Amino acid sequence: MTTAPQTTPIATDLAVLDLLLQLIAGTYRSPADALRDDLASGALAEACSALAEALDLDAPGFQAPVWTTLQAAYVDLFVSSGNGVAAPPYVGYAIDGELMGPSAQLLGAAFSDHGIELQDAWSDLPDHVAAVAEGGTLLAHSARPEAAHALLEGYLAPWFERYATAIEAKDVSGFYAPMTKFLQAAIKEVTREARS
Amino acid sequence: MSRMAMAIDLAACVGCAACSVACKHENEVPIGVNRLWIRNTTIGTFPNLVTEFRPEQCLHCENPPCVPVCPTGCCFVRADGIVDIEPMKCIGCSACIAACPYDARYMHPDGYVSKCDYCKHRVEKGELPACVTTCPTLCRSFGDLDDPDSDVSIALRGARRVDLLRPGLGTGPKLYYLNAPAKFGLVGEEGQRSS
Amino acid sequence: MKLGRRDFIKLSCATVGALAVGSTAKAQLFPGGFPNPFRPPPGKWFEGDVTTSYSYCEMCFWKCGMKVSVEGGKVRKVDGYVENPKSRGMLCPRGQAAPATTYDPDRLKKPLIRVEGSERGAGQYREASWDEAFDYIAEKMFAIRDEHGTESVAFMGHGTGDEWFASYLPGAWGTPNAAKPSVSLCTAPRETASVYTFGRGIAGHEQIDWDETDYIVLIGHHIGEDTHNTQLQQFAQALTRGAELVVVDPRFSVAAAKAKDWLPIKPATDTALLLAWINVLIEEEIYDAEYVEKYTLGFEQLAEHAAQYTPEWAEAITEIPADTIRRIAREMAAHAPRAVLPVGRHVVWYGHDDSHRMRALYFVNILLGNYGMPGGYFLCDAPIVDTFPAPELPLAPAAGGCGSGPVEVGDSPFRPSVDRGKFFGTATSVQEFIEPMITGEPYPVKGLFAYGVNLFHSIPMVERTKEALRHLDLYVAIDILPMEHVMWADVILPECTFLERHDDLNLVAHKTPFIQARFPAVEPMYDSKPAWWIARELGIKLGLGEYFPWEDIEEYLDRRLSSIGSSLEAMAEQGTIVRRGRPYIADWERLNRNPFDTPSGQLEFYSERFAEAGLDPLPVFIDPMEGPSGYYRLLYGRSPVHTFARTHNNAVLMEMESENSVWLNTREAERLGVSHLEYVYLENQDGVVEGPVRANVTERIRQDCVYITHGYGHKAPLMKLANGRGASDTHLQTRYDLDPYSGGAGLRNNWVRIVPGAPDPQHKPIAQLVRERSQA
Repeated sequence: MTTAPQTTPIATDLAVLDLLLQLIAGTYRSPADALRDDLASGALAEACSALAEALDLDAPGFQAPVWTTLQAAYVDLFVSSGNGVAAPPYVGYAIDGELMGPSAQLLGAAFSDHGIELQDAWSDLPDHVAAVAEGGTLLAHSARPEAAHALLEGYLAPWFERYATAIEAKDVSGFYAPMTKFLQAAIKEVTREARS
Repeated sequence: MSRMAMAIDLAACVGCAACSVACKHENEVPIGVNRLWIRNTTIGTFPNLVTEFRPEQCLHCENPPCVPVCPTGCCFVRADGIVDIEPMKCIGCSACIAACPYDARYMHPDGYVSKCDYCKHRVEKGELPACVTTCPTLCRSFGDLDDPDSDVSIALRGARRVDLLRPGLGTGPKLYYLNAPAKFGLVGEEGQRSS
Repeated sequence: MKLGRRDFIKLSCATVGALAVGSTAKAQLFPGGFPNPFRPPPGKWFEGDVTTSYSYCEMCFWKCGMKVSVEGGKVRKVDGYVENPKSRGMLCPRGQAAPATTYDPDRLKKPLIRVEGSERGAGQYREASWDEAFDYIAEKMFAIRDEHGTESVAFMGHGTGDEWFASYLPGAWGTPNAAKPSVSLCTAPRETASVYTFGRGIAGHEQIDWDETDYIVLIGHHIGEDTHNTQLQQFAQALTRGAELVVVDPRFSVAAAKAKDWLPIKPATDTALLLAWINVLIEEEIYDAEYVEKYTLGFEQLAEHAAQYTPEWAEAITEIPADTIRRIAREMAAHAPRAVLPVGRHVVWYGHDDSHRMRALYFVNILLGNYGMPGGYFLCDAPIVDTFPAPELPLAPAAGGCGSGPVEVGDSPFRPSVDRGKFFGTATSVQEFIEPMITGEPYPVKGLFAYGVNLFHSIPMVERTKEALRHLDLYVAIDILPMEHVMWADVILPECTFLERHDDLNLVAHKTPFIQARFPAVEPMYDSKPAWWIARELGIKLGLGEYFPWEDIEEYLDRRLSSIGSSLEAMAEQGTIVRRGRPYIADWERLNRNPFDTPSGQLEFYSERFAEAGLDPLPVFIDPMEGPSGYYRLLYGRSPVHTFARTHNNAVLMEMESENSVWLNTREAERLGVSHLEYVYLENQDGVVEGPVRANVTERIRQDCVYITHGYGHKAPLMKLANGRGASDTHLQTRYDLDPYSGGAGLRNNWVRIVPGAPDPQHKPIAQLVRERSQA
């Protein structure tokens, strides 16, 4: 197994990295009450504005979508519906073109080495983009920003690179397209700053 | 020293491709390339027809044209007669692919050449290649040609006829076709028209 | 770069519930970072830590015992094992490709509920929890029950889990409308004919004594194309041993390529050939007179009846020379009783003729004295294992496997099934459920469960099926892949693949009867669940919990196995338990038992029961339906690398054969100006068009028919590999002829014309689709 230890100092503010990962987790999770509440209360929009401000980006311009439209769009884009899933939500698949392939296995082992475990109640693959982002927030919170950053760059960024265009083209909810565009831009900004 | 070889009884083979699929998983052969495949040819006119189902793969030649052309020495013949490739030494130059008259070699997407190795990892453990094990028609025999009691030696002795693929090339294949259904031997060799 | 307002913002929606900090942090293997995912290829799976577990295959219905190798949490390879009488250590291509179905990225992942107000077939869904999905289904089922009765919910099932969905749950719920397509769209005529001739079903795996036979006559039996693993092994071994083979088929099939004689019979005339063989065997007195005398009833009537069916009469019908008919009959007789005419599996060909054909086939075998004799048909029964103790079901469950009868409502308060009275036999006919959904006659069918049945690639008259689905109040699909019919359902329940689940024991009638078990090799992916769990949880929601008095499948299986002195633990170690059989009549006679469960206790040539019902007591030849001028009879069959329409999204198998082609005789192709591999359309007698499909211009088929392999022509965009490739025979089957004996639907009464000049659909290579699928 080859490892590429990240030795670059992380310039990004930890809170910014954490917020970005939270937004990725919150956006690509299966839509449930918590997302509905965060949309209704404006918490999600507020978080986006905060991130946008910190990174000097435009905040995503989404209207609070009709809930049933959002649910259908989620299934259509990420689960199984319509004319084919636009974006299989698995980061390993985006990297390897194979489910539970080498990257997914490497990722699982690395989480485990960092003491982060899969919860029994989770009923999807461990490398689901929302799960990986959640893992990133845990790394950020346990003061391992370098690991969180490597996760963002090594595993989440490739997923966006592969699927962002498809999501933007096929979303009918008016939520996933602008969020994806915004989050991808945020990832680019955060990783760029980290390198500089 | 030994000379590992295979014999395929064409009277039994139905061309179902179980061998090919077993190989695919056993050797993690990527979609888009294959280590072994079936050639299915019919000759004659209705109702006097002959259909031959012929699995093809690396023949592990005694005089393999692929080996001498390799600039890095990654193509070689093992002590047991299996023609093998060392992927870490392969630079992906494709000279061996061009040299093989049987199209048995392919470029792996990771940039090295690959092909049938008679499942050497199984053979080393005393097991049979995956294609031999799974074949529902039991048309494949495998073993050491130098051992008169090996499955392959017994199959060769019991065959009605034995053919080699393109014997005129002098490659000395160690894969034999037994009991070809056409009277003259393997079809497609002499430019017959398929029907 | 700083957050302006506060340092940490906490979004509640960001708590996904997937990962948590545990207590097992190892030393920092990756100090400060994560491993780079773009790395050189890993070691081979077989160099890793490989564990194996037992299962039996679900890639087709043959269910061969297999060993599953797992490494790194992923299934890497499957193999047969020699102790299993079905795989005997070998697997066919479909079995070998099982891992590619488990890791098919197009799989169903979560329970889905159709978006309120969207059309069936529009494919608009939202995710639901299992609990919510069950609540939704239960509410609709109760509403149907209250308005129409429990019988108005129908169940269709195929695959191992169909015991739960086409037998047990319907029996607990109280509906006789439960059926498997494996009966009326496949085996029904052979079963009815067998029960009324031998007093025993064929039931499952054709009981041919391949290992002992010397002379084989196949009629429309596609060994080598249908890759029934054990059968193919024994067939090949018989040929290697020197058994002679005769193949009767309008097409030079794979089996025909191995035959010493190929008889290219005119389609739909097989019964005439069989009747002529009966005629020759009797007229020339070369039948087994001693066997016939000892074991049969009605020989005089048969002899008198068969006198009219001379080889010359048959030649005019079948286009097989009378001399050839006589010669083959004599050869059979010379090898008898080690000469056999094996019964095929898919025998619903021409409807009105099918049970006659099957009886005539059995009669030839009886005249050869081979039924229950070495080298002919062996006798077999499934091993007995107690059921789990549970209250008696309101309605005895029996949608019917391939052999068993339907639910007989008897004195129960339930109405008989909607197909009752349409035909003589005892099966339940899956295709006869469709019309009542539309007409409400004899009573409405308002609810439908489809478990593993591809409604649009098995039941003829696809447009009628779609129309029927529009009339339903509830349509539930339980499946693995987003097949087209699945994406019409109100509720979609994702089942896990067989490599991820336990299932009930498989009790196999065989020369050596045996019991085989299935263990999960890996955990179910996504939110998919096994059939037993889905049936039980739904049963509990429906108030039927008393019929599921076990907590989990381990308890259920262990209790069942304890009745034969085994246990789940013991089964995990051995996979299969093999019993001794009683394959020959002599084995029964030694025990003073009679294997023939007919009213007379004899093998019955003449059927009093058919006569009493106003049907023909002896098989007759009925002139086949003729097609319109310029059309070819549409024949269909199997590809060795595919099962039904089920495997056409499996990347490995699809790469082996990625589209079907229409076989067209060379002379017809010349006449039509069609060249080899050119794309054409197929248009049937009712104007339905399929294709573009490649023309396979070949000498291997007669001029009056064309042939395609079944299962292609998917119209399901979610199945990215299968979608739009080749032509579907089912879609071209816009009519069928009901067998008045068995209820089978004769499907080969459809005709097509070849429409040249179809555009090349420019199908991408499978490898490219696989790449693109991961790259959107």
